[in-house]
Amino acid sequence: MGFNILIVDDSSSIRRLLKKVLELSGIELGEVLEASNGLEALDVLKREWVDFILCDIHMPKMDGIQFLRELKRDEVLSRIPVIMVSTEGREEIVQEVKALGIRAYVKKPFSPEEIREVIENLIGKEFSKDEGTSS
Amino acid sequence: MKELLRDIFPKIMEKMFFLVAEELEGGTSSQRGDYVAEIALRGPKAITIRILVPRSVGMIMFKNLFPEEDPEENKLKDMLRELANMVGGNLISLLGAEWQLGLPQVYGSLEALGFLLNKAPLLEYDVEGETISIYLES
Repeated sequence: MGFNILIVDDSSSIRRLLKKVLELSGIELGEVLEASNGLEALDVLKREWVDFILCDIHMPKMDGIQFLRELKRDEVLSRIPVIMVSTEGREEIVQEVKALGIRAYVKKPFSPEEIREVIENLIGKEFSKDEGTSS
Repeated sequence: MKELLRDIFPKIMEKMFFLVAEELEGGTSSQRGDYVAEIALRGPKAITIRILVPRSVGMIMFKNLFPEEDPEENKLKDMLRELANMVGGNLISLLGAEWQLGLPQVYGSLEALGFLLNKAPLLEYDVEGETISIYLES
């Protein structure tokens, strides 16, 4: 059973790029789901369970920070690890999303190696006993 | 602002698109390009950054990023929108907390050049023998 992953970014280029990095990473993948903003992502999470989320900050309709707040309000969804992938580098914003419980922060532009390393670390820490919780 | 953009832009081109952007000293003012990728920054003042990109360079950027995909117009524009987003996002990261990032836009052909008529670029770069120009409006 592979990892189900949700990619949340308003840029289809970034979603496709992250999906490609995941496919080439050697990580055993289940379903890779996509959403273009926080609202769409919440909608996806009503229907599907994911093992972790890659999420942008600056998005229309619902940004990444509001999305994290919504996840945090929900007892079940708040357990899903989130990796932020954003152009945002201001310390106060980075600290704000870290305080909302993200597991890692990757700044755009990123290299495929950076993304792969962060995901491998996450998997090593959070799923070492039970690879992929997807049902 | 120019110094910050001078620091940011070549790094994005290299890290994201695997391309060397070499600054053209003195500039060319060629105003040749097919797309304008635009992003607005709001803070102590309003700033709009516009990046004029020739289609040929856009195609190379796309092929470097997605070698297995066809460079459809909507995909090419989305990629250039993300280029503007990365330039703007990295810029406000250096400018500070009082700045807000707008949503990026991309315009094509004549529509794009209308914005830039009689304006001088802030920075120009040689990328694969073509010129990418960056304009700043405040």
